[in-house]
Order: sequence, then C-alpha cells, then structure tokens
Amino acid sequence: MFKIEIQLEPKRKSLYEEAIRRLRSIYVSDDANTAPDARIVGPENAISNQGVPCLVDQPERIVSHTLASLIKSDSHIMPAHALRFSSRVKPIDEALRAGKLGKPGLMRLHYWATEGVSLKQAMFGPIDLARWFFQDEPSMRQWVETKHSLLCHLQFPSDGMALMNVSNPFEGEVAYESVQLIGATGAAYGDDHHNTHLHFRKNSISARIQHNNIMHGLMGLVSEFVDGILNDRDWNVTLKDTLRIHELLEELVDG
Amino acid sequence: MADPGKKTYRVLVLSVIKHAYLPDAVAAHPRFALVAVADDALRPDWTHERNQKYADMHAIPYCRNVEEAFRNFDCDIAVISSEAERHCDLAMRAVRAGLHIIVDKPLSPDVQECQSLSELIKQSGLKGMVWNRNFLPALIEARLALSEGAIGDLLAVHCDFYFSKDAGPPKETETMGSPPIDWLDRQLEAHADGSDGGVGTQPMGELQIEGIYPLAYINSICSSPFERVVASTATHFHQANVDNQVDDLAALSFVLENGVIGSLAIGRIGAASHPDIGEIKLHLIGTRGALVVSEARPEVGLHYKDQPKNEFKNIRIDNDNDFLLMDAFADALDCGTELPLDIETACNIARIIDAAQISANEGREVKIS
Repeated sequence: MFKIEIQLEPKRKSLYEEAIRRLRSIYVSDDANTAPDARIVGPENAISNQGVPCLVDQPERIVSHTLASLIKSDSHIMPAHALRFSSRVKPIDEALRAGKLGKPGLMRLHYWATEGVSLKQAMFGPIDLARWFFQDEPSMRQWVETKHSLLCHLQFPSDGMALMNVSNPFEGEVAYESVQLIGATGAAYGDDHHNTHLHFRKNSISARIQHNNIMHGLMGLVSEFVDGILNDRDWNVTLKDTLRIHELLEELVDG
Repeated sequence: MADPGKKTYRVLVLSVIKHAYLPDAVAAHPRFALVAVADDALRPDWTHERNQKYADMHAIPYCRNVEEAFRNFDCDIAVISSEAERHCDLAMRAVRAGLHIIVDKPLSPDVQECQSLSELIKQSGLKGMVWNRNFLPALIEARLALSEGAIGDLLAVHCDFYFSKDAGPPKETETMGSPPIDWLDRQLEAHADGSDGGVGTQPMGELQIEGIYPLAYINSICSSPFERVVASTATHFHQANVDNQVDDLAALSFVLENGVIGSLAIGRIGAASHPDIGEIKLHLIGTRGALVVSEARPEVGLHYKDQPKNEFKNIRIDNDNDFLLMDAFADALDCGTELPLDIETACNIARIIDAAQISANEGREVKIS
C-alpha cells in the first residue's frame, strides 16, 4: 500500500481524502510514527518538505522566489495543476492526444470565478492549459485588464491561438466555466451552459449548473503523482511549468 | 397579405449570383415586390446564367444593363447580392439613381469603398441596410434582458462564431506540385450548398466574409464604437484558404470606447466539428450578473434512421429574422426609423476588420480610426 500524508487545511484535506478513498492501493496515513511514501502539502509548505515526494496543492499561490529555489534544489515536487486533470478537460485532452481533433488551432475559455477569487490566480489554470494543449510557449501575448476581468490573448508558433477570459464581476457563489478546443479535424466543447438544469419557482425560473465533480480531477492528479513515483518516471507537469506561468502572469498582469 | 393602406415597395435585384437568401427574404415580405433582376452586360456567362435563373424563378425580367433598369422599372429599392467586391460599386450607382439599398454582407472588402458609400448615402437622405442576423430570437432575447437591467451595466462581451462547414479539400491534402486552388472556381463549386459567401475574384478570409455578423451582434448590444483591437489569424482548415493566403480561423480581443472589453473567436472549422451549423454563443458580463446565450436556440432535435450525415440534427425554430429585418426596412422608409445595421455602422465594422487584419499581420495592437 502506498502511504500519503496530507498537510493541508481541513477543507482541502478532506477533498483529497475523499479522492484517495476512491483509489486502489493508496491510503492516507495520519500515523506520525510511520514515514509516508509521499506528501500532499499546501503552497506555504512546499519548501519545508524536501526529501519526500510532494504534491503541492494550489501552486498558483507559490511565490516566485520559492519556486526558483525549489527548482534549483532539484526537489521531488509535482505541482497540482488541477485544471489539466479536471473532468471537463480530460476528454478534450485525451481526444487531442489520440489525434481525433487534429492539430490544435484555437483554445477558447471562459471562467467566471466566485466571489473572492484573485483574477490573476484564476488565470493560472487557463494559461497552463493553453501551453499544455499547444505544447509550446506563446509567441504573442496580449492582455486586457479591468477591475473585474482579465482577457488574455496568446498566439503560438504553430499559429495556434488561445483566447481566455476570467471574470468575477458579481456577487455569486456559483462559478461558470466553458472550455473549447478547435482542432483541424475536430472540436471539443466542455461547457457549463450545456450541463444546465432548469429550476422553476413561483414567478421565476433559474438555471442550475451541473458542475464537474472536483473529486475526479483530484483522483487524476493523485494517480499521476503516485504513478510517477512508483514507475520512477517524470510527471507530466513540473515546477518549471509552474514557474513559466508565474513569469507570464507577472509579465502580462504586473508588467 | 400586404396592408392595403401602405405602399408596396418595388425592388430591383442587382446581381444575384450567390446564395439568394437576401432577395428571397425581400420577396417573402408582403410590403415588397421584386420587379426585375439587372446586371452589367460585360459580366461573365455564369453570372448571366444565375441572374436569368433567378429572374425566371420569380417570373420577372432580367435586364443586362443596370442603368437601363434604373430608368425602366420605376423601383424604390435595389437589393445587391453580387460578389462582395462589387457591392459598393452597384450600391453607389443605385443611390445615385435615387434608390434605397439593401446590400448582402460583407459590405465590401475595401474599407475606402465602404467609406465612400457611407458618405454618399448620408448626403442622399436615402436608406441603406446591410444584411445581418440581429433579429434572431436569441439576439432579441439578449437585448431584451440587457434593456431590462437583468445583468446591470455591461462590462464585457465575448462571442464565439464558428461555422462548421467545409470549404473544399482540407489543408495539406492536395498532392505536392498540384496547382493552387483558384478562389473563384472554389466559390462557384460551393454554390451548390449555398456556402459561397466569398464568391468573387478577390479571395476573402472568414473574418472578412462572416465577421460582420458577430461584430453586428456586439454593436447592437454595446452601442459603442471600438477603440482598439488585437487579432491573430491562421489558415488552419482548408487548402483553398492556404493557397489564397486568407484566414479560416481568427481570434480578436478588443476594447470599446465606453470601456467594455470583449473578444471574438471565429472560424470555418469544418463540417465534422459540430453536429449543426456551429457553436455560436454570446457571453455577456454585467455589474449585477451575466448571460450565456446560444444563438441557435430555440431549436428542435431531429434524429432518425438513415439520416443523411450532413443534415442538421437540430432545427432552428421561431426564426423571424428575415421578416423583422424587412419590417425594419419598411418602417425606415415609411417613418424614418433607425435600421438594425445601416451603411455607416457596416462601414465601421469594415474598419474593425481591417484593423484586425493589420494587427494579425504586424503582431501588434491597432487603434480603430
């Protein structure tokens, strides 16, 4: 059995526990006397957990100089780039890798965050996804920032393009997400608009979005993390990816 | 049935050599009557054949002399459905002859021509409209929601506008050494399925052919001029576009003068990429809420054994776009009301598209003059 220790605040910890509960041959160890095979830690603990393979939750919150130190020290850390593993993105990614969509041409993403989410941090996942789909660095980068919106426009050397909008303009508790990938021979659409139920009440009607189950994304993340360790292979995401996205965000938003 | 108390306007069709949805829509409205088809005598034979065929279908004469048609048929309106590169020339001749005009989209690939027509029609006091889809049910609903304050003040507008149509052989399938695809030949071939909006000798990209539709949506929703635009374009799908160096996929991000930001993704993405005509959506974000609008809806799903592969599986319903556009035109002629897409607005959209192309070519942000 593969033992994972989780050093996260209770809410995040319970999410990972629930995800790991659904995986075979992996369990969460709370026994302080037994050395874990790996840890899941928060961004604030990334630097203090060297020596044991670590999955760092919410890497968009790691500060840049910490990232540089971690890369320099050759730490065995997998950053949890969660959007790549989300249940909405996974079928798109698999179709792309299987050649069903042909050469990727345009990634389109809309994300309306819930209240209190930092727009810059919310753009971390979309930029990661664009680099992941196009497997390259953007050659053209444009950015429009307003009080409640970030609009990011990237172009890649292959002529592929990404158009991503992240917003948090209104006081809402429900996020909305839409991801499309238009390829040369096919296209994939992952859209909350499509996954919507209707809610009728007296004098009103509203939509209820069937949100993707976060558990499936976390299961994918943990599986990739553990599989990389057990098979002594590189993970499909590295701290260099994290650092590069931080650099792009700093260049675009802060620059 | 036409209202006996109101005038029935007489319409001259000036060149109907591509999809005929525009003159068909005019003919279907009871306030308008097609009187004749006309075109210039020196047009190629295929042009005359198509004009004659349309005239025969409607049992009206075909006149191979435009100015003679102006003189002889006592028309009120000219409907122009020629190659886009001829739109402005025919429109200006009609305006000089005292006719109101309805022009198929795009107004013209040449911004200067658009500007000249815009100035001429302003001076003339005549009415001019460019064909558009602003009265599709979903667009009416979106504007209604905005006007009711459903999402507060508009902050951002994002539009996806993909036509899942093919355009000849896919990119890089032509054998090495074969001659490049001739643009006009390809468009003439496309006439069979009505996807010949780019017909003409001058190749046009998807942004230039179809961009006016989503930009007209945005204009009708935002009511503000564009301030600046960034665009990237690619030839991603079709060999005809590669051979003629015109885009079939484009992404625009922009800022309007009123501070609203926005983006547009547009492409002719291939028939395999969507079960219907394509994913066409608006994402509107306001100070108190947001809207996601599917341009195709309402629709009815239709699935059956041996259904042809290229038949749409969802049928749009309750679409009064053609009727309402012509109603608006009749109102404009009767009472001087505003048009849903007048020549000046279409000219402004042509300027946005021109700026977007400069941005894509030069890799920089371009201010809209």
